[in-house]
Amino acid sequence: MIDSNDEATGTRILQALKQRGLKPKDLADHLDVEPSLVSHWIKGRKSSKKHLAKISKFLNVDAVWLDHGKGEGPVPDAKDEIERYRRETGWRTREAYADGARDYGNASMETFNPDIANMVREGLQNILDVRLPKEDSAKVVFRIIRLRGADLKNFQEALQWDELSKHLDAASEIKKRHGQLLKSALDKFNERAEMLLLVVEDSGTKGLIGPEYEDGNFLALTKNNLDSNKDSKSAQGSYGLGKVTWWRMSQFFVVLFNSHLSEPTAEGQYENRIIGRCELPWHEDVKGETACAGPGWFGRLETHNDTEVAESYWGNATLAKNLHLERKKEVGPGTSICVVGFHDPSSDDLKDPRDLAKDIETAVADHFWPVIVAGKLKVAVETWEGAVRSFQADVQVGSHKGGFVDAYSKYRAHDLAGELKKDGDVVCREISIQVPARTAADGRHDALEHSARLIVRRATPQDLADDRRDCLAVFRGPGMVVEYVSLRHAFSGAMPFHAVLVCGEAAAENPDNSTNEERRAERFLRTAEPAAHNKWTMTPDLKAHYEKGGKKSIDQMFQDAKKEIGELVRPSSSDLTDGPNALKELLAIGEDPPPPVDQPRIVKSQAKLDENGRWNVEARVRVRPSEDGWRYQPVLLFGAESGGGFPVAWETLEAVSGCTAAQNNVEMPPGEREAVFRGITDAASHPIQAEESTVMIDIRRIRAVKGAQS
Amino acid sequence: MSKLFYPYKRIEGDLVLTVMSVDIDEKDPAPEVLTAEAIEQRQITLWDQEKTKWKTVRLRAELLGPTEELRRHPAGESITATLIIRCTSTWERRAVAMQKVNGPDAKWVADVELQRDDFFGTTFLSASLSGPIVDVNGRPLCSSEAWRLHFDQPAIDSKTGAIAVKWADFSNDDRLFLKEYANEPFFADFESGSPTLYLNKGGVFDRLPTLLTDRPRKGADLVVHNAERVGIARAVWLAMLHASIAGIRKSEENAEPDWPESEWQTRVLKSVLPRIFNQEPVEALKSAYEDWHMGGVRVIESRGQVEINKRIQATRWLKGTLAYFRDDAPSEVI
Repeated sequence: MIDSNDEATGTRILQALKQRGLKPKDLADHLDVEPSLVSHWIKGRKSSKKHLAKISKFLNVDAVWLDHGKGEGPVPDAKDEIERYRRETGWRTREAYADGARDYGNASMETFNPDIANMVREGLQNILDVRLPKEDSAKVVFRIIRLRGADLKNFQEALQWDELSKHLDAASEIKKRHGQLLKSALDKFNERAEMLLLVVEDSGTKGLIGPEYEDGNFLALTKNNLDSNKDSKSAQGSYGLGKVTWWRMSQFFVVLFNSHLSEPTAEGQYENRIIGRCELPWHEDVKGETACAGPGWFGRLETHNDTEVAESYWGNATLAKNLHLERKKEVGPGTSICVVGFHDPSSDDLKDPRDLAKDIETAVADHFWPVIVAGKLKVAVETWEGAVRSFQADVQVGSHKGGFVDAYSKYRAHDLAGELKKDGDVVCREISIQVPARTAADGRHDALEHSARLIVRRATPQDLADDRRDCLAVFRGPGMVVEYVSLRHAFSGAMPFHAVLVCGEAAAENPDNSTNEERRAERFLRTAEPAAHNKWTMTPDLKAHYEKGGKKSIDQMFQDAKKEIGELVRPSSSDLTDGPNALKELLAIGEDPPPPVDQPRIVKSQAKLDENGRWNVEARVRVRPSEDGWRYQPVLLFGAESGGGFPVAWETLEAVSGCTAAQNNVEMPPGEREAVFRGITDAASHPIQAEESTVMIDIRRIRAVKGAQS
Repeated sequence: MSKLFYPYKRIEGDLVLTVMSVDIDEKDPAPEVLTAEAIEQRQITLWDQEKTKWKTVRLRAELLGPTEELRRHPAGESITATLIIRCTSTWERRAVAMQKVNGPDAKWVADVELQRDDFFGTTFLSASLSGPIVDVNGRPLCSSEAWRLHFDQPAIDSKTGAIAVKWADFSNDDRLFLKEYANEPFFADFESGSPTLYLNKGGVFDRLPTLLTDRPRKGADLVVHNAERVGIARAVWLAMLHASIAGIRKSEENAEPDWPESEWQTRVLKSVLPRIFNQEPVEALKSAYEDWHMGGVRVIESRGQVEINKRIQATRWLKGTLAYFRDDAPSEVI
């Protein structure tokens, strides 16, 4: 039987050991006890109470803290820790393939458009997928840190930049795309001598659990490719590709991690798990001896299977702090990710941290308002100048996506109307999705019908500037908007609106207790998402795991939703008349497009007043080529308050191209498609001073002419 | 028709007019009037039944111009903004000077009070900027897009696109002009502002609703129904076309003809004339005017019938009828 206090004391002993850079065996030797006994203390299997005084003295911590967790815990000796990490950490790159093949970059990095929106989508969905089930919500802070001068130097020193930069320089010599991107980034960095970091700190999540090798969250994120390590059927990510966006947002393709684990490793480690990875193209080894395959890792230097490797570096709070990956104790389990040399590759401009923070805030609100409204995610953005925070804001989705947020909030609060009678009214309708039978051995089931919820809100004047207005937002269980379907011009004269289609487990009455039908629809829709998770469509997995008809079902669902929205938002009838529609449809005064006209028409014109008060005009006339030529009379009209204007006389009228001009007429020969004429008005014919009136150019008396000649 | 040219440089940036508030009879602002839909479509409906008895509407309008362009403009501080109210039915026109709002933006505001009795149908609210150019004062420099204030039900229904169609018992109706035509099955009223087709359901026409109302029909029922509605529609269309041609304006002898003041008439002409004359709308308007004044509407009469038959799909319905008489009953059910 494990005593919970003994277990907690054991954890604190381990923490103190780590902070002093000691191992359990060192404590056993000092106390002259068996190492297995110390292991039992650490795991809480045996009480360490009668040895606490000696243990506390050896570890230089308060015995009360060891026993009860009260008071000051061990204060790491920063100097010691710095010395230690300098001695024990470094960079190790993977050796080039023995067969001589070269990867000039990680192909996964080209899967997504490298921009802030995609980074936020991929990053947050991965965080949501590792949310701890007991936690009310995951919390995420996006921290943009600008490093200059001493701050930059300290960071570089902690990251062992000198060693890393040799690889960066070598990789930047590669005349391939990633090499050239790197070269450009290094040139700019050397010129500006400043660097941005993006630190994404999540909490309420599992952290990078799992061993150093084989399988687990840690490996999926930091070492393996195409490894999603997600067991949940509703997890947003499933390809293991999204994580590469972090590296793509680094100018140097370098990303660092520090994690506090929700469950200790087999060795009892759980705090400050630090590792870094660079995703470089193949390059010559910096020592000039062998070549590097590309990826490299930063961490504790070890030998594994006769190979020099960098593994997780545990328990060095000072290194975490110096890498700007410090995690406060109260933050709890989770991971901090540091994108080194953060930038927005989709922008020409070198963005200021505040602009980047704003972009992140907008992207979070745009894609994650459902899960934020549901209270399962909280996000903040911060900017820092070195160690000084210059800006902080919680992401308020209501101020970004007010229409959708109001719609979904009212739906959740059952504050629904029957019709969209006034601004802000929200109605809910059911939309059926025909989920085809799942044929895969894993979770086989028959075809079923799922009821999604369509929420439609009548927009308010405040929503008119929203660029997502008149859109249908669709999402499922994780609460990330998969897609916005624009219906801006779908319904002529419709009232402005926001619509939401809530599907799968998100449509459950109680999201924590969804039905089989909802779970199966959730899985179906997840399978219908491509790697970017940005639409529901036919995917190879959908084809492989479901009976035919999946794509048709999805298309039908969108059609039904659109039809239902149309019913709700169609123009409010101003028709109080009770006559039969059979007659009204014959009396519709439609604005049909005008019939195609074969006659010449002006396609371009210009006019300028000269110093003699005459209008100088030039016009280009186009006509469908035909066997006939055309004759017409160009006229210049002086504008009038009403009516079509006063025609004035020409002083000169001449052909420029494609026509002849004589006696105020222009003639285009048969087959001619375009003509240009030029004219100057006769000032004496002007009804008023030219400076006092507007003018228009027109052509009149258009006649087809057999055999006209140019 | 090509674009309009000015003898001086105009302001090219957007001039955006927004109605900020609408008070009816000095009551609290009525949010149901200034809805998002209304703002989006720049239309304010004032004729709703609940507000039929109101007397005064007060509007606050805000005008926003292109700040940087105006700052650089030679007329500079001398530029003024005017709010223009124009009712095409009553010819009521007002120009209200807008007040410049202190601050960095090129912004003006104006309050305007309109009496219900001065307006009918649709009234247009727009704004323009003017200023001195060289030696000429008050040059129009740019205009905003217009808002529509619907004091009365629009002539053309926004949903069906049709004129109003109403049932009435002509002989027992309060409207005298309907009593006058109590022996007619229908009456198209183009004099009361909004064109309305009245269908007689009184007296000997008490079964007309049976013939015309919307319900599934087939066989002889469908044939007779189609024949009657096509006949009524053809007559109404021709009347609308004539009324609209009569609305073509010409201010002075040498001036070009202009579209009718009435919006529904303009829509009728724009949808029919280009097809009658196979010309661009403006050319077709001139041809129609000439035909009306010099040709005795001969072209319009002859070609107009054909065009109207096409518009109401008369041939389609007739084919259905003929098929019925060939013992090939139309299967269509409407």
